[in-house]
Amino acid sequence: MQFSDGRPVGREDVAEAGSPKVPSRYVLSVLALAALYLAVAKLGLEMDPVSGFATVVWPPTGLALAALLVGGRRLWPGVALGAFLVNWWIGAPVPTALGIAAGNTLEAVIGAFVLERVEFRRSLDRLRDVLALIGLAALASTLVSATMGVGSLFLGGIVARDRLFETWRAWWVGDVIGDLVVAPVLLAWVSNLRMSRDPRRILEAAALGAGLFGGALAVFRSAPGAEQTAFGHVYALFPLLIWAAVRFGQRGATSTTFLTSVVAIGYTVLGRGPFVRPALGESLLSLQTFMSIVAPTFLVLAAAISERQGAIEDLEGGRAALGEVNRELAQAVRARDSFISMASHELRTPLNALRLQLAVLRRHPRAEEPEPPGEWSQLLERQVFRLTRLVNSLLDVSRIAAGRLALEPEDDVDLAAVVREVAEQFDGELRRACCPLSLRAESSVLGRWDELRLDGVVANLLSNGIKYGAGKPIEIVVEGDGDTARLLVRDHGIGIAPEDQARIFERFERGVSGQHVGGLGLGLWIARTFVEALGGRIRVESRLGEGSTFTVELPMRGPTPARSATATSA
Amino acid sequence: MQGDRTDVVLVVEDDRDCLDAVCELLRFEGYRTVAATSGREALDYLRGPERPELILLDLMMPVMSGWQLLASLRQTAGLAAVPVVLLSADADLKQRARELGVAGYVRKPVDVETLLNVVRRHIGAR
Repeated sequence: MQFSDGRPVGREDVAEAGSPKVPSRYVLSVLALAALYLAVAKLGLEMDPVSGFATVVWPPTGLALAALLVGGRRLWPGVALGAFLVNWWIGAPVPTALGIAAGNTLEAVIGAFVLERVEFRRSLDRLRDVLALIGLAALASTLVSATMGVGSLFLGGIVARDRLFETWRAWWVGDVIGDLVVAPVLLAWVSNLRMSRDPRRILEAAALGAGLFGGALAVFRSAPGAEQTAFGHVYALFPLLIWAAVRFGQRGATSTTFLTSVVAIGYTVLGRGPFVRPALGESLLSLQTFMSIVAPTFLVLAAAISERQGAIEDLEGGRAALGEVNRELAQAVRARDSFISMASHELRTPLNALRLQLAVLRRHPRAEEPEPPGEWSQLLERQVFRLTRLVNSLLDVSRIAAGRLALEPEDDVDLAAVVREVAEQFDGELRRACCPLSLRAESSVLGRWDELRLDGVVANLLSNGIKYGAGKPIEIVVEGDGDTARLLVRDHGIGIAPEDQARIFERFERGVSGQHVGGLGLGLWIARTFVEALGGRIRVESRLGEGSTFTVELPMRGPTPARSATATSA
Repeated sequence: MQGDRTDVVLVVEDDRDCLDAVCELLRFEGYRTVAATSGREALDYLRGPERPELILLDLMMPVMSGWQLLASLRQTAGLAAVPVVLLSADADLKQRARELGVAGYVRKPVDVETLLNVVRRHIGAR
């Protein structure tokens, strides 16, 4: 302590002294711990020690355990030094003081080691941490110190054989209480130093502190009760201790237990309060009993409350997450419902034409108005073509969604030929929509592609152009530069607003409202998915009212295996 | 002109195959038909001198949808009284018809007898 109280030891000073920085800081910590240990130990020894050494409460045990848990077990020399000095100071011969110091040090090191092994959390906010502290540190590790300490006293001839057990028991229980009362309050505050700024919380804490202090004074300052039981009085303090645990968690519980213990010890030593017996030793024994019951009780209570609060927070978090998932699910269900209703609309339109045309055909007064049969079959064929394309789209969608979009690339697939073929298939649609098609294609653009998917890309882009082309010309350009094949589909229709240009490639998205144009909102999504599976890219340039140009670029060597693998799971 | 029977059925439908088939069917039954491929075309015709006795109206159409056309009709004196029958593949057609307060509805794919009965009910048999 005197080191830090005196001149501040800067890093420069240490460097000038020529010693490495880290050990200096370490040495300072060890010395500070030793000094603190000494001071706290002297306090403990003020209380009529059994056989001169075994105190009723040994606070240094709690200090040492907390220090090694927070600062690391390497601080053990501080404990050893402090323990040796204090015992030597109060008159133990050097060998005895060394033995006692070894016991005290081992106790702290073993306690810290065992707690670390069971992943002890210093905030003591779980029941298991509190139980580990009580069982492994307070009850078990203290046996080492008591045994080695009393053994050293016996060997040094300070304790007679017939007082061995009494001394050992006092030593042990004193250490137990040190671990139960002092260590928890240090650990709880070190792990959470944050103070609330809420004036109501501060006021409540102050009221609780004042109430408890006043209550403790009233209980422990009272004149020694003639026939009252010791606990008759102290029950009065329990509501305040419970209040602290419930409202202020482990910091509240440990601080109030500590405060109560300090007041209780002080007045019992002065010969007042409910624990006073004819002999001071007896008084302190009944005080030990009190503290060894109160301390674990409220430690456990605070841990249980903090676990419960944690569980409630988790539950609320889980509920919020569940709500989010529910909203997403509801959205997915809405998207699916609107898809189903749109799909049925789309299927009904060609079916409607088919049905009406068949009705017309049946009622046709052939004799008066003969029509060439070719025209009729063309009409019917067109509806069947529309239905077939629709069903193919639905199958593509279910394949993509299930991740079963298997590509079968072949060498020398001709993009120009595929485009010409699709254009021919759409001849009737194009004429119906009054969209003249101009096709500018190199004689052949060969690549390693899956012909069926290529067909799907071209058909979906052309169908999109017809649907939104507003009856104006459509141009298709096919070219290749030996490395990349390029397909352009340009319409002069309604165009796409800039903010919609990325969206239209997503599933169920369409550039226009459902009141105007039917469709599944799938064509461009299918086209994009196929293009990406083929290792290519698709983009659109468009201005509202002027039309859109879709550009597809495909590597002629076909998709690299990695890319096709990711695309199938898209 | 108003009050005179014109026997005209205005068919508003963006799918040309369906439009042609409905018109042809009605012509076989002795009705006069006027075809429009959008709400805009229908409105252009309605601004002329002739009043149809019935409008068969698709809902989902580019340029001007069935909903937009209905709104325009309601605001025009002399047109608000023309009965409108929806002809649509909409999944909730019955509810749409109720919401829009139209004279009736026929689902696509159209059952020909149902369609003809609706027309007969509004302008009598031919």
